[in-house]
Amino acid sequence: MQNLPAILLESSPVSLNPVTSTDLLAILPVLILLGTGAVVLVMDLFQSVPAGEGETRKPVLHFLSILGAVIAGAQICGALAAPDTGATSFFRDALRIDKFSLAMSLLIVLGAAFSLLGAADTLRRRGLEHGEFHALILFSAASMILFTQSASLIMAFLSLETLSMSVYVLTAYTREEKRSNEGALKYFILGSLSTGFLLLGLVFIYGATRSTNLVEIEAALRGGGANLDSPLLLCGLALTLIGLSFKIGAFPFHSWLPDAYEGALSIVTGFMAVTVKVASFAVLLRLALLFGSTPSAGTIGAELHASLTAALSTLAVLTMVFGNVVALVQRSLKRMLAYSAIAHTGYLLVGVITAMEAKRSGLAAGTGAGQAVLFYLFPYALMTLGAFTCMSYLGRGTEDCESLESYRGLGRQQPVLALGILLLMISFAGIPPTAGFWGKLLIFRQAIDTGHWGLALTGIVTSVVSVYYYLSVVVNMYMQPGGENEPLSTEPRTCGKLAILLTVGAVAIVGLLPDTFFRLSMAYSLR
Amino acid sequence: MESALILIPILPFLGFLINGLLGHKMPRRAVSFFACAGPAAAAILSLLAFQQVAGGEGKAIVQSLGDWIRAGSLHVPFGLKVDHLSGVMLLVITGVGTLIHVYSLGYMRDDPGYPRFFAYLNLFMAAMLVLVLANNIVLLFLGWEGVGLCSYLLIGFWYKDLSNARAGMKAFVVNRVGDFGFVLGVFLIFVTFGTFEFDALNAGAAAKVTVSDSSTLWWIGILLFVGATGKSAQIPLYVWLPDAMAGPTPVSALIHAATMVTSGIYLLARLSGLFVASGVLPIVATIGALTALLGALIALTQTDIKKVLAYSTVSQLGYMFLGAGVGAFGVAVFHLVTHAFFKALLFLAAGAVIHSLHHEQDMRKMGGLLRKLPITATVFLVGALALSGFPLTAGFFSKDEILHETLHGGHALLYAVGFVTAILTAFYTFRQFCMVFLGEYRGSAHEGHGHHDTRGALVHHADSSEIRESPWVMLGPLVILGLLSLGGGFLDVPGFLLGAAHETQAAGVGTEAHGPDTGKLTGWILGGSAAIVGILAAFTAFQWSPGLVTRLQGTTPGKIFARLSYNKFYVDEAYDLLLVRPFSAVSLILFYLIDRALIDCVLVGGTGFFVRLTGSALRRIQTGRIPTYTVLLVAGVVGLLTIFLWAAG
Repeated sequence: MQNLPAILLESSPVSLNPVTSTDLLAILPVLILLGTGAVVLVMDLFQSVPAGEGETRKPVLHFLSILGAVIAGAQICGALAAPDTGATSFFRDALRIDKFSLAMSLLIVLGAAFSLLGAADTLRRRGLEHGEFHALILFSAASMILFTQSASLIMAFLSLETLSMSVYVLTAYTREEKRSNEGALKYFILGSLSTGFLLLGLVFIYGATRSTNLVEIEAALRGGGANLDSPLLLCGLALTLIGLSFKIGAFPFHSWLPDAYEGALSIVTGFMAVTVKVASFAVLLRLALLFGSTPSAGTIGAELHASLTAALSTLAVLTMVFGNVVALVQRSLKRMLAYSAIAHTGYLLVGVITAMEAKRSGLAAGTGAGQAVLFYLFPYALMTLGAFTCMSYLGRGTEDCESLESYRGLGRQQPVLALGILLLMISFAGIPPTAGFWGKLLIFRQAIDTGHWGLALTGIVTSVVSVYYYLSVVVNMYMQPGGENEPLSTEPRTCGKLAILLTVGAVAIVGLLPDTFFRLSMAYSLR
Repeated sequence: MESALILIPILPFLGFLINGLLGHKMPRRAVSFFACAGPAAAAILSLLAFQQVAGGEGKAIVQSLGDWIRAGSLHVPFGLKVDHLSGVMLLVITGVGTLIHVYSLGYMRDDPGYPRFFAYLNLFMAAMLVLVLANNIVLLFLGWEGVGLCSYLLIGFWYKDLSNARAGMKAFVVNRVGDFGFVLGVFLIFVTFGTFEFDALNAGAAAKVTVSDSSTLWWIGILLFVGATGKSAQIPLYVWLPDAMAGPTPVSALIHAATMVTSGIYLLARLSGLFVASGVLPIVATIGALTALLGALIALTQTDIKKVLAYSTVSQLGYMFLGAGVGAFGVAVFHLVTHAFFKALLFLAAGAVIHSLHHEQDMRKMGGLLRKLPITATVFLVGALALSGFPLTAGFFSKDEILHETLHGGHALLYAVGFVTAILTAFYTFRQFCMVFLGEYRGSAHEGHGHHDTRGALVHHADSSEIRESPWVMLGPLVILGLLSLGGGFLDVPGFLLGAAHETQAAGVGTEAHGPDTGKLTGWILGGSAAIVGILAAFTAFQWSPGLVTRLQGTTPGKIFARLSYNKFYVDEAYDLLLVRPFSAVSLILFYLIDRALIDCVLVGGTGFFVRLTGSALRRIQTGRIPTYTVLLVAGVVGLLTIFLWAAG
């Protein structure tokens, strides 16, 4: 009976604990997002659509959903600002909320809010203004938050599946477009396959440790190998890692990513690239630190550490090289950024490895681990959202501005916007003094500090390669002849403009005040 | 006054900003006003500051404007200081500077680059004032580089003529060589002393010399002296100064005679304690004496009116280094001051001649201008007398004090060199006077044959009837400088400077009472006679018996000497052959072999090619077909599991 997971115990009347108001209060942001999603979905039924016109006008839809996201974000901010009381468990240890998961949740809500803001114009322009879109974004954001906060393997699996379902559908949202359907189908099929591996991995872990609860698993690890089945645990962890690698798009589990990213609406691509990655990295980091850095009585701890380091390092190197090298030969900005998203996964994996190393060697004793990952993700999220919003903003009719050629002459036509894109690109490339530079600096610095010279070197060399393709956008904007494109249509683009302005401005601020954000990431690091 | 020191460089700098940014939109009158207002106001402030300092011995005004650079143990304050030495320099720079600004109003009147010229000139003033006001060597270096930049800009002011642009570049590059030494010296100072402030350095050096660091000190001294030879045109880096005459004549007067080129002397005087302790002074003295002689020898045969003066400047700067080298820093600065007066006067007078002759600079096409330009001729004569060291003029006192101190310090050989140079100086100066102002006008012979002047404009030689005096805006400053050149020798600059406490360390010169003692009287008689001998010889050769020179040049030694001197002893050619060409060759080889072939082609191009090739190969993985993807995924699973289990051991 003791060996059964907590959730199975629920059937027993003896230990039935009712859900308390504290539990509900703790997941208030999730509830707000879910509630807003439901309201928006229902409300859309009552919105009249003018017949015969391609355009729709549903400002309330956008406003309400963005408002919901903003309120949820404010709620999380409030929780973040409160004094740190360590990790607290809710729902009988199904969720554990600490500063780290709150910070990650904030990034997710941020991604959702900016995606909703940026989508408003595009959806209207393309006649796709349906409540499902907003609801799906909000629902997936809610499940992502639960994913980052989950403290049990089952909770993690359930929330991961919920968020995946929402994202599959979002990818296929422009259902009349062939490549959208194709991308979504590939994503779904391969995703199902990887989910299978993930589930198998979780089962193995449960089998080895006799618990689905992360706290109990940690205790079991600390206790040593007597009752631990080491090969089973190793296999389980490897399969779990594969499942997560699929979600973050690490080579060779990335194959769905370019097609899905290309098929989806630019805004949706931005949303996926940011939120799915943030949520998955939050869980990956937590699991890596749990399994890879917990001091154990027997040899199991060292074995796990060695295996995780080797596997993650291999993934990181392959991902950095593959993402950057293949991005180089792309002709479409959207596909290029898809591969660049893979490349950034590689850099973040380096961050995970160094966090693991730092925690194990006691470097992170007072400060917590993973601040480099956290610091990196914030500007990365902003840059990605900004770039994909630009693509959507510059779109004409039912097309987003995707090919590199279509950016020719933008420097003359729209100097301010071009300047913003320039900032985003040099920040992606990591040229000082931009936000992207500080993020990379932090990760590579930690890699060197923890002795991972090879990883740091690979990261730096591939970053240099990346400068080429990021700057090719700039070259097209400023140094290529052309730009005979007709000016943008007169449809209102205020929301897109606002989203770009906010993201680019935030990227600039992080670049100029890295210290503030570094201190924040220290405060919210994983302890 | 403490809080107003910064205004002294700021005011000309404002003039630079106004004329530089808005000059082309403003009327000439406004440009002229702003051009002269800054230097004039700075001159008034300098006078006030000077008055305050002059009151007592060792008195100084200091304005501290906080930190300039603070990084770790490196600490550079932004501090300005006026003491006796910088006070004298301030007066010279702002006084002579203002006069030259006024003169330029007339000289540059018809130039299309009028506002640009004054913007540069004002910027120069600002930089030069920072140089002398700085209380530490790093801030001094800011001014040092600033004046170098302005010098470059102004030499190449008429940049459309390639040779002017080249001259500017030459000056800049040669100065870089000196600055390299200077910067190394500054680094060494920081490593050795940990501070940059002059007072601390002078005191610290005196303390260090007794310990063990004498070789470090020697290196500091020699490196800083290399910097000084670059800026102050000494052997071996003097070659840029004659070429710098490509700039407008007021620039030659202000930058390349009166102020900037003397900053090397100022540096030596400023760090006199350090230089005395470092033990490099004998080298300084030798270089100075040799430069003095070399400059005078070359000046003997030059035919360009400005080139004669340029080599004369090189020669006179050599005198100053000789003075500093024998430990008489105060006397060196004295000569700096008087030289600023009479050389600025000579240049400006030469400029007036050039102006009157529509940009003719060849003395062989002049002559007989005494009657046409009586005022210019008179002031030129005054300047020439002062330069020759004619008794009771400014140059007489300062030069004789240098020679006196040289002999007094026991450097008989250097004294002999200096004495011969004094005769030569008088000779070439009056050769120039005779060629320009006496005899018959030789310019009209070429009338009708227009040629291109330095600005690239077609000019016609002035008909002798067209030659007129310059306007009073140009003659006024000349007259004032003429008076200063006559009376400047009676200023007791060395005595004034020796009053400052730290100067007395300079080789015990301060213990001597200032005034005509027996040794000094002998010196005066010798010096005066040298001047008179030189002047008489020049008159004999060029006025009273014109055939003499031709006959002398007919003899073999005469011919050889004339060719050597006229061609500046082929130093430029030697530098070109020994340094410039090998350097260019190495650069070209490196460019083609290393940069083009290795870096551009193999490394950059090769990397790009390789990466693109890899990218093209790798993108084939992305077939778009789900079976391929599935195979890849499963292969990844197998691979990762293998790594996992293998790594766990």
